[in-house]
Amino acid sequence: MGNGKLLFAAAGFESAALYALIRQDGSLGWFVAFLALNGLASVLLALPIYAALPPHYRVPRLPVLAFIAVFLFFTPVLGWLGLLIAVMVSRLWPAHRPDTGFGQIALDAGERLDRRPGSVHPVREAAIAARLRELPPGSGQRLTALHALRALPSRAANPVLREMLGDPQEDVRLLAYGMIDEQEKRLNAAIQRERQLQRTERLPAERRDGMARLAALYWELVYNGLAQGDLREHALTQALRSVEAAQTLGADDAGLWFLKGRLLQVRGAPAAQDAFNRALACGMPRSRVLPYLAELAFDARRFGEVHDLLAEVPPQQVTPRLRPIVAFWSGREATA
Amino acid sequence: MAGIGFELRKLLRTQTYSGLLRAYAYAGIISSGPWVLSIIGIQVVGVLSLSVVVPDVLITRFQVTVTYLIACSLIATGALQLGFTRYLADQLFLGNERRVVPNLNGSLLVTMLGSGALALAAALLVFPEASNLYRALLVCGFVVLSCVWIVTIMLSGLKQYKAIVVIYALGYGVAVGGALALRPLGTEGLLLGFVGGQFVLLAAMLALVYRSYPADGFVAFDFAQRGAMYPSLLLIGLLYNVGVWADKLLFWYFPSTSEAIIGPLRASPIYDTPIFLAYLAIIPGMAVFLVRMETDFAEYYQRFYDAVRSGGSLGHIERMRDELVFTVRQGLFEIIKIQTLAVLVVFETAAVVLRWLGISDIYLPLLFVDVVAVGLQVLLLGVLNVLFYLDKRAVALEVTAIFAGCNLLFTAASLALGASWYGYGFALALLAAVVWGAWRLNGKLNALEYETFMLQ
Amino acid sequence: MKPTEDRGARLPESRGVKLPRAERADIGLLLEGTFPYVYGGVSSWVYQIIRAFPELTFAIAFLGSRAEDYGGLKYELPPNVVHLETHFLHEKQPPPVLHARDGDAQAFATIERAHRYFRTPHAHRADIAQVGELLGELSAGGRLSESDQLYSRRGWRFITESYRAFCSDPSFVDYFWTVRTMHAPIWRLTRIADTFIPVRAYHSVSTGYAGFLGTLLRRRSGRPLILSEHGIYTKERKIDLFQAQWIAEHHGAFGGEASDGSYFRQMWIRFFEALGQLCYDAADPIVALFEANRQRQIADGAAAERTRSIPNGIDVARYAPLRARRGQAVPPVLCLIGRVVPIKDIKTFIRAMRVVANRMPQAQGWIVGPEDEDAAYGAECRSLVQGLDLGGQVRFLGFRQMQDILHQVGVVVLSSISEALPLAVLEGFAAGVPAVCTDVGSCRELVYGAERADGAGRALGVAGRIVGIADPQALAAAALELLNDSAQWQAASAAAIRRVERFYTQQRMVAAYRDIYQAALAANGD
Repeated sequence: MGNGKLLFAAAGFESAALYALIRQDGSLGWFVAFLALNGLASVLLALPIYAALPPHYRVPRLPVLAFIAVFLFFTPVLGWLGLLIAVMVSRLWPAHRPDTGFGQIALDAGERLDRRPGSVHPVREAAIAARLRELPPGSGQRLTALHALRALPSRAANPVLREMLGDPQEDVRLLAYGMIDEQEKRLNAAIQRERQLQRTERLPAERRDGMARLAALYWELVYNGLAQGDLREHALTQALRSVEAAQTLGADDAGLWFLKGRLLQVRGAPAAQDAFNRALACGMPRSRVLPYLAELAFDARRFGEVHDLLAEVPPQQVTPRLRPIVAFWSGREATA
Repeated sequence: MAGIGFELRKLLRTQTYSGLLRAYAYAGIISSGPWVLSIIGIQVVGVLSLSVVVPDVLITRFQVTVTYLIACSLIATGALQLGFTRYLADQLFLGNERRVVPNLNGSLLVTMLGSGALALAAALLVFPEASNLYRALLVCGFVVLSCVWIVTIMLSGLKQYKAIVVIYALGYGVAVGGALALRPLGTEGLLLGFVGGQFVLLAAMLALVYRSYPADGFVAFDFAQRGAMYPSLLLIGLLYNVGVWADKLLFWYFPSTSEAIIGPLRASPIYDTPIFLAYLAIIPGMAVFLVRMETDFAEYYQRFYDAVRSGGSLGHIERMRDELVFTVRQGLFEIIKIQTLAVLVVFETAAVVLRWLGISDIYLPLLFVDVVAVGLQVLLLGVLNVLFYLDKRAVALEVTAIFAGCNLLFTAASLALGASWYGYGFALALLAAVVWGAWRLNGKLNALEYETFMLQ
Repeated sequence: MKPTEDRGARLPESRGVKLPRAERADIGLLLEGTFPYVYGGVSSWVYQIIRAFPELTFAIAFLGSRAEDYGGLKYELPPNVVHLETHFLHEKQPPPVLHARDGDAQAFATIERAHRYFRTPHAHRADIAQVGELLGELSAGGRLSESDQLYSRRGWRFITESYRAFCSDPSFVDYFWTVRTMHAPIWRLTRIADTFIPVRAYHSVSTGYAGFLGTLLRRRSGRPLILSEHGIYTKERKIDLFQAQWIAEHHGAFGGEASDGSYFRQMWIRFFEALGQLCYDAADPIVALFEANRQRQIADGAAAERTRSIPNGIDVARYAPLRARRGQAVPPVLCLIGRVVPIKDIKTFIRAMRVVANRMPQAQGWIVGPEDEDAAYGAECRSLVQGLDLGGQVRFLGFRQMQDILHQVGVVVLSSISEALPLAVLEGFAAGVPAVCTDVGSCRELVYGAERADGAGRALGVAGRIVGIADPQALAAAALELLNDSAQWQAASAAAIRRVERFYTQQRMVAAYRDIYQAALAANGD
C-alpha cells in the first residue's frame, strides 16, 4: 500500500475515532471504539511518518515504528504534526556541526622556523651546558640541570644533550638519551604516518598537503639537530624530494618555497636564491627572508649586499639571536 | 633483563568525580520549577473563568484534574527522572552524545507505555460518570505530562535556559490561552486547552533536543540495561516525589478533610488552597537558590575538582574545599534569609490578600504553617542538589526516605490530632529531612578530600 | 637473547601447560620478568645454572607485569624444576572491600619511622629495626593491611603529611596515585610470600620486586638469600623512568603551579633504591658479574664483605668449530644479537647501517632476536628501516641458532644503552668474531681486557671497538674499520678467542656457584 493510501486511510480512521469520542451518548463502548480506531489510525500513519524521517533516524526499524505509533496513539489528531515539526526543526536548524571528518591543517614552515629560536635567550643553553660541566659527577643537580633543557627549544637543547651522551655519569647519559629519543620517536612516528597515508588512495590536494607536511617533518629532524652526518644528508634529500613532489602536485605557496630555499641553502646549492625569490613572490614577508638572503650573499662573498639586506630588516623584527649580526653589518646600534 | 613495564598511564583514572554531576544537579530545580508554574497556570485559568464557566464546580473539576495529572505523573516518572538524567550525563561525559536522542526516545517510549497503561486503566475503570472526551484528555494529558517531565530534565543538561524559558512561555501561553478560548466547553474545554499547551511544550522541547545532538538512530534502550542507571537514584527520584505529594494525597482521601470532585478524584479545599498559595512564596527562594548554585557553588565545585584532577597542590585543593563549603553554607543561609523574609511578608499581608481574593480567613493559620514548610522545601532542594553534585547518593537517599516517611507519618498524625495541627505534618517532615540532610552534608563536606581520594 | 640448543629449544606457545607443583625444594629461584617466560641473557643464564646442578631441585616464583605481556614457556623446564608459580604484579586485582576506618595508630608510627630509613638510610641507621618490624607486620594477620593504606583516616593523614613535608611537586593527585601505584605490588608480594613453598635457600636474580620477595621470605623462614645481579636493577629502572612519558606533566592549570614529573621520577627511583637496600641488607652473598658492578653495589649500600664478582661463562667448545667454517675473507655482515627492545637501541644500529650502506653498499645488517616482547618498538624499527631506504640492507632474522649464524658474521654489534655482561659478545668471541660495542656494562672489559694486577687482562689484545651510545656515525666508522682492514680484523678475532677462553668459560662460573650453593644449603636456619 502506498503512503498516500495509508495517509488517506489513517485520516479516515482518525475521523471516525473523533466521531466516536464526541458523540453525546458517551458510553464506555464508544470510548473503546475510539481507542481502537485511534490505534488503527496511529499504526497506519506511523508508516508514512517513518518514511519521512531522515535516514539516520530510521534505525532500528521496529522500535522506531513502535515509538511513532505509540506517540501518535497517545496524542490523537495533532500528534503527528508535533513529531514531524520536531524532526524537521532538527534537520533544518541543527545546533551541532555536521562532522565531516576533515580538520583544517595549515602548513607554514617559515612560521615554525622563525618563532622557535627567536624566543630563546641565546645564552641560556650555554649557561646550562656550562653548569652541567661544572657540577661534580654524582650530583643530583646535574639531572635537574638537564631537565631544565626541556624548557628550551629542541634546536638549542639538542647539542647540549648530544654532548651529555658521553657523560661519565650514567644517569646523565641515560636522561639525555631519553630526551633525544623522545623527540626522534615523535618525529619518526609522524613521518611514518604521513608516508603510510601517502600510500593510500587520496585526492591530489590531500597528497600535496601530505607531501608538504612530510617535507616539514624531515626538515625538523635536520633543523633540531636530530640527524647527523649521513643521516642528516638523507633527511635533507627526503625533505627536498617531498617539497618537489608537493610542488609537482600543484603546491605554490610561500611557506613551501621558503622551506625549499632553506633546504637548498643548508646544502650549499645556489638555487636557494631562486627559491627564496619565489617565496617572496608568493607573499612571504620580506623581513622574514632577509636574514637568509643575507646569509646567501655572505656565502657568495657579496658583502655589500649583506649590508644592504640586513639594513633593510625592520628593527622590531630582529630576533635576539640575530641582533648582534644585524648591528654589525648594518651599522645600526645593537640595542638589547 | 626484561623488567616489568610500568603501567602508570592509567594512573589518572580520576574521572569518576567530575563536572558530569553538574548536569543532573539542575534536574531537581528545573523539574520542580515547572510544576509550580503549572499550579500558577491553573489558578489563573480558574480565576479568569469564574464568571464564564458555570457552575463553578466545572472549574474546580478542571483544577483538581490537572492537579492530579501533575501529581501522579510526577510520582510515576520520579524514578526515571533522576536515574535517566544521570545516565545521559554519564553518556555525554563519555563522549557518546550520539546516544542521547535514541535513548531519550527509548525512555519516552517506555514512559508512554507505562503511564499510558495506568491512565487507560483509570479512564476505563474508575470514571463511570465522566464524558469520553474527558477520559481521552485524561489519558492524553497524563502521558504528555509524563514525557514533559523527562524531557525537561534532559534539557537542563543543555544549558539553553533562554530557549527553555521561551518554550515554557509558549507552552503555558497556549495552555492558558487555549483554556480560556475553550471555556465555553466547560471542564473539557479548559482541560483541552491545558493538554494542548503541554503538547506544544513537549513538541518544542523535543525539537530543541533533536537539533542539539547528532544521533545514530532514533530509539534505543541502552539506559534500561542492567547497571546502566543507579538504582539509588531511581529510588531517590521516586521517594522525593512521593514525599512532596504524600500529605496532599492523605488530605484528599481523609473523609473529614475532603470532598469528591469527579470520579475517584477528591480534593481538600481547606488544605489545597493554602498550600498552593504558599507555593507562590517560594519563588524568591528558588531564584536565590538557582543563582547560588549556578554561579558561586558551580564555580567552586568546578575549581575544587579541577584542582584535584589536574594536579593542584594539596593546599590549593583545601582552599577550594573551604571555598566550596563556604558557598554551600552561604547559599543555604541565603535561602533561609530570603524565605524568612517571605514568611514575614506573608504574615503581614496574608489577611489582606486573602480578603482581596475572596478567600476565607479560616485558611490563615494553615497558610502560615505552609509558607514556612515550603521554605524548608526549598532548603531541602538545596541540600539535595549539593549532595547530587558531590555524588553522595546514599545520603540523598537517606534524606528523601526520611522526607517521604515522615511526611506520611506526621501528616497522618496531624489528621488524627485535629484541624489545629493541619500543615504541621508536612512542615515537620521537611524540617526532619532538612536537619538530617544538613548534618550529613556537613560531615561529608568536612571529610571531602579524604572521601574524594580514599573512598571513591 | 636467544636460546640455543644448550639453552633450551624454542617451544611452541604453551599456555595452559600444567605447571609443576611440589611441597618443598632445595633452591627457591625468585625471577622477575625473565626465565622461563622471556628470552634474554638473564634467562639463558638461569637455564644454564639450573642445568648445571641436576642434583638439586629448584622451585621458581616467576614475577611478571601482566599475563598478556607473556606468551607461553619460552624454555623447556629441566626435570629438576619441581615447582613453578607465576604472579603478575600489575594485573588488576580486585581491591579490598571499601569502607572507611581509622587504622592502627602503632602500625602507622612504625611506617613513619621505616620511611625515614628509606628516605635516607645512612642518616637513620637506627630506624632499621623499625623496618624489620614493618616487614613483620606485613604478613597475613599483621597489624597493617592494604585496606588501612587505602581507606583509613590514618592512611589519609600519613599521605597528606608526607606530601606536605616532602613533595616538591605541586600536583597532589599525582603524588597520591604514585604512592598507591607504588605500593600495590608490595601488598601482592606479601601475599605471595605467605604461600610460597618451603625451600632450603632462596636465590634471587635481581633486587627490585623479586629481591623484595626474597627479603620477606628470608625474614620469615630464616633461610639464606643469595642475590645474583646481572644488570643493576635500580639503574635499569632509571632507564625505564627516563624513557617513560607517562609521568604526569601538567602545565599552568593554576597560575604557575606546574608539574614536570621529575619529583615522581625521583620517588620511583627512591622506591627501587629502598627495595634494593632491603635486599642488600638481607642477602649473602651478593654477586655481581664484573668488578664495576660490584663497586656500584657497594656504593648503593651493599656490605662490601658480602659482595663478589662471578663473570658469565659460556661453553666455548660449542662455538670453536665455527671459526674454521668461515672463509678467508671477512664477511661484510654486521650482526646485532638481542631482543628487539628499546634498551638495545636497535634504532642506532639501523641508522648506522645507513652510514655503512653509503660506504660499503654490499654490507648487510642482521638483527637476530625475537620481536614479540615489544611489538610496538619492533614496528618502529621496521618503519625506520623503510624510512631510511634500507630494505635491501637490513634484515630482521628473528630467533636463530647461533651456530647457524656466527660463521657468516663479520662483526657483532651491540648498540645497547645499558648492558651487563652480554652473552652475545662472548659467543661471538668464541666463534672468533670481533665486536663493536657501546661503552656500557662490562663491554669495555670484554673488548680491551680488565685492569688486573697481573696485567693478564690487557695483554690479550683488543677484540673490537668501543663507541659512545646513540652515535650511529661512530658505530658505523668503527665497524667499517674492522671490515675493511683484514689485518686488524684478524688481530681482533685472535684477541677475542684468547679472552673468552681465558676468563669467560662455563666451568669457571659453575664452580663458583657450586661453592655458594653448598654453603647456603649447609647453613643452619636462624
